[in-house]
Amino acid sequence: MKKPFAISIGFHAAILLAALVVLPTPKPFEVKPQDAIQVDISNISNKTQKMATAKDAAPAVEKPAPKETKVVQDVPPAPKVDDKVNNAVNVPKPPPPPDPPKPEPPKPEPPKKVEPKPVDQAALDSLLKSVDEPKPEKKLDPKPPKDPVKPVDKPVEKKKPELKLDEISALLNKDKGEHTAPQKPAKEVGAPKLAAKDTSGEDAAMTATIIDALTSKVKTCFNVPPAARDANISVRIHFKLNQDGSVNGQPDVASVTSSPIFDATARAAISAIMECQNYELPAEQYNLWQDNVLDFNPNLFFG
Amino acid sequence: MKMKIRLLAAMVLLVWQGSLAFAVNGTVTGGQIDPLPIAIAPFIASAGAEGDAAAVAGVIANDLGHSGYFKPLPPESYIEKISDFNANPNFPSWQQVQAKALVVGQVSQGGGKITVAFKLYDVATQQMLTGTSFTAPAKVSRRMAHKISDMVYKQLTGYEGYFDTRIVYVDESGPKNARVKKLAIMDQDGFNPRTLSNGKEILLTPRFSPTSQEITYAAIGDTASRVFIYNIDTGQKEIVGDFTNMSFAPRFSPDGQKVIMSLESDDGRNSNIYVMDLRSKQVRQITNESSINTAPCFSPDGTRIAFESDRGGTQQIYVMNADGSNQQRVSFGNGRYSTPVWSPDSKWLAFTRQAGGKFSIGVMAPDGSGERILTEGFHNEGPSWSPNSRVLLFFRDQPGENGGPQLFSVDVTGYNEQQVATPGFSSDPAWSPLLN
Repeated sequence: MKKPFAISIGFHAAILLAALVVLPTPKPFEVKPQDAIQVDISNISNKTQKMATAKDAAPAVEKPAPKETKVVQDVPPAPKVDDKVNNAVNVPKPPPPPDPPKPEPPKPEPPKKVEPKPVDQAALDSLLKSVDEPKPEKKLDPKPPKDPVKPVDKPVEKKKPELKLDEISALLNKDKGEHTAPQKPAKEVGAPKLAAKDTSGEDAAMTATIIDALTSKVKTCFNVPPAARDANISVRIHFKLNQDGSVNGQPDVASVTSSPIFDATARAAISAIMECQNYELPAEQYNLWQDNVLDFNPNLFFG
Repeated sequence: MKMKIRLLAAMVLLVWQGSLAFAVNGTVTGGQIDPLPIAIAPFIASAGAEGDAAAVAGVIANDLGHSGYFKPLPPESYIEKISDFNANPNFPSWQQVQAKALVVGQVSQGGGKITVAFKLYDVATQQMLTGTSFTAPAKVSRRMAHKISDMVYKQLTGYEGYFDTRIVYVDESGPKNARVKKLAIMDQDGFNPRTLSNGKEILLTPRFSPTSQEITYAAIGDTASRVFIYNIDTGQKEIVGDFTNMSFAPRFSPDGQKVIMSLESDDGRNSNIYVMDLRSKQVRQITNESSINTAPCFSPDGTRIAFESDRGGTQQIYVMNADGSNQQRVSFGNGRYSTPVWSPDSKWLAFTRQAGGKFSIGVMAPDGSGERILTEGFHNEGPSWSPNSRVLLFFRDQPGENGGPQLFSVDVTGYNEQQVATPGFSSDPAWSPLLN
């Protein structure tokens, strides 16, 4: 019994000794000093505070790419695309298309390579002339015309100047050489109008920014009724804003129930919206914040 | 026709929903919890009512300020002097003094009566939120003020008010080793105190009836403790039950038709809980334990009873069904728990805890969860709920030869602890329900 035990001890000791001798000494673990990386931490509320208070916020930059893609659809497909066009597509600012299976249709060349053509004054004059020709009084005449056939013709005449105005715009546009069809009027006009929002991409980000700016401001004026502090309650308030950031009319309660807690919370919410006006929001995105709905969830634990 | 109306309604709803689809949709979570700045404009007074007008405005400001939810603004800061009750206030001037709410009022008198009218405005929206007028004998002008405070409080906080209430308590006088204890009553703000007994008996644990102007209490006379019912309006006193053994710790049932109390056992070593029907005078035993079971309190719906018992070795809080079944211990914290009191909204049990040489007032859910201590000190005892379940009254005893008990109030959140002024030492407070 003792002998095998002694052999085992000896054998293990030999292995350990051999390991100490044979195996290389491990390198000490050194931590190399790293260069400090400066990181700016910002959150959306910081951004929105700036956005909300900046009086001269930069105008939104329009993206040409989607427009051009649509334009191309209206144009008959190019029979061939040579290397020149491909180069032109690759060199300028627009990002390369995601692996097109077919050669790209002709795209606008970079502004450097294309010399802006002078405005075709003759064409412009003729167009302006044609615009002046129809008498506006007749068009706006509210009286019904005697001849029922004539009105059919008149709308056709009305349409002409509109189309030509687009063409005028195209003529005046320095980029006209790159466009093969008139741009979308809504984007050219500049002044935003109430329209369906693009909830993806930039619009969505801007909407989130505006929401944050609006809710942050309203929160400073919202005095939570004591009963709402430990209750699971939510009050939805609908209100409209004027372009100067003032509240248009009185906010109204969009969710209706009746209880002292709800009533007190709704009153406090409306009071907060009224008290916090005028709201300083980006004027060029007025269409995004002229009509608003805020849910007031006073209790942080239930919110 | 009906179909058309439905179709029209559906279209209107669709259009409205559609219009909302264009709206920015955000969420405001949380907000400000500072006391609401409120302006109580000096009330307009008719000839001879100047004193009442000033008193009414003062009572309202005092009530709202003491609640902890409001910050009455100093009248000297007001820019506008309200002179026409029916005209709209100059709201920008009230905004300028940071008022979020504004109370205006007028007081007139005639034929021994006074009429108090008031309006509450939201300053930001410039809208009247509530308003009314009361006519009553001039001597109850303070009550009218309390009623206005209740209306303002409810409108702005979302809770029912509690200002038009009274407090019954034990008035204590004399040296510490020979105290004279009298039953006393006062308005909730400490005004109009008066004693209801002559001090020949030692009075303990007075409790208000939830339905009438009656009080039940225990009194130790020459030989033993007895339970009584006292009618505040008539001054009549009635003994509850003809028991040979001591009876104590009485409390009304929620419907005011029964009194629940403790009765000492024959050997004087234990006590159990009994209920007496005040009409039929029938008595029913609820617990049957060889331990001290006392301080019973019905739940607001009358289906359960909280009480204290030392059956486990130390005083702890237990909850059982109203018939005595399903008795379960609910306090498991460090120390001894006693005097459980069910909140009128059923959410909490207030209690006294003795641990580490200190007496604390706290609350826990009826199942024992969510325990939190609201105040702690040398000796705090006897919690009693305001009718809206927002404030607790209790008494705090001071050490030393000249020390004595005083009444205090604390918000259920543990904030806004304040002393309730009484003429002398006072203990065992009990809050009345709202007066009619």
